[in-house]
Amino acid sequence: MEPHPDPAPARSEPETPGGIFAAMRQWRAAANSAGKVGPTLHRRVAVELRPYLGSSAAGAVLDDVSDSSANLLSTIEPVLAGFLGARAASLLVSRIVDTLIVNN
Amino acid sequence: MLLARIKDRVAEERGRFSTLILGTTAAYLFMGVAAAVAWSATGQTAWIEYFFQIPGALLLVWLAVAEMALGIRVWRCFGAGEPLRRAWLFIVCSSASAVLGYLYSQLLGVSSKLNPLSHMSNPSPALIQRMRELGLLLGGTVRFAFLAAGLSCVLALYRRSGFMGRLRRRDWLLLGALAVYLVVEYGDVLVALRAGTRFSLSTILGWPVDPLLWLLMGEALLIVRSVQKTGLGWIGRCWAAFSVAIFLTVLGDVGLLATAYDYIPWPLSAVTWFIWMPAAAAFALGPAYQLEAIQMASGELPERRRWGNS
Repeated sequence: MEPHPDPAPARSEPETPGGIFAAMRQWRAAANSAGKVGPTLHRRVAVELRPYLGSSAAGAVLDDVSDSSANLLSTIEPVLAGFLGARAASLLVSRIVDTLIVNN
Repeated sequence: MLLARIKDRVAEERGRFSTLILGTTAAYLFMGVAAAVAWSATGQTAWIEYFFQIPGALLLVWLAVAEMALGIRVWRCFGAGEPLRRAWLFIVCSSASAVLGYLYSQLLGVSSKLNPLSHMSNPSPALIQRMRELGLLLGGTVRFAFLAAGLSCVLALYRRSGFMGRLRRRDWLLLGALAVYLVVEYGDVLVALRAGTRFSLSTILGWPVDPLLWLLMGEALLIVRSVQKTGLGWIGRCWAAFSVAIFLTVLGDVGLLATAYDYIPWPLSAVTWFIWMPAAAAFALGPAYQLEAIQMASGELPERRRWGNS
């Protein structure tokens, strides 16, 4: 007897909560290895911030960012806005995001 | 290879106000040194008098105008409610006082060819003296009061951001020495008052200058320590420039007193006349560096070469 062909094609999105978490872990691992979250990203952001804030200040600001980088932008933008103004800070952060996350 | 690097460097510096300020001041200082050499060689004081009365005075006015114009541009980069907006408003008021101060004290308050009052048929020396006193009040007490207010806003931001530095022992020693100088100075004033000396209004209005300079010195030292704590970035360079300007101003002020009491012999005391030019340049560099940092962040100006890049 022939095996019954699977009527539904293989789906990329997970169906169960466990599957969602697994996919998130997989995505985070991939993003981490690509330097889009986590310590690698923090180091690269620090390199971008260093000329403006100074090396120690750039490192200190990024110390407050969680490992998941979830609060990265909300942490660095107010500090930059304080010293450069909101408009310039927003443009700088957008450029950093474009360079390090979107176009990377 | 070397030529290419020089070309890159020149291209990088083109259009930057800080380069213009530094270059112009250096050229004037070179002219000043040449005038001093000519004076020393010929024994004619006209060389040095002419330099300080015309090119030197024009440079001071130009630097103050540059400081004010750049300060206004920086102030407009900060929106309502942003912490540095108020700081820059105070700094702009300070530089506007400096512009008026230099106009009155360096142009209208001296007998030189640049002074339109000198071309009147019968210029009154009393009027010229009044102009000078008004200039010293605007460029002294008024200017430094606004600047102290502005820098206190800057220090508040450094404190809020967690970047505030701490004064070191030698900073406290310096401030202590200046405090002793203030006490001695005010002690002399008190003795003169008890002896029945009557001071003019312009002299009395000038009394807050030295306490304000002491306060500014404290703020400048705190800024330097804070900038050191951050690791000196493009933002910190702006505030470091203000600190350098304050150090040079205090040095010039102490130099004036030392000359008045003959602690610095002539002609060595002439060196203190040159301090006001780099001081004015450092004041103008503050807003220039801040504006450049904002323009680089906004992508309006190419970023300067970063550390570690050749």
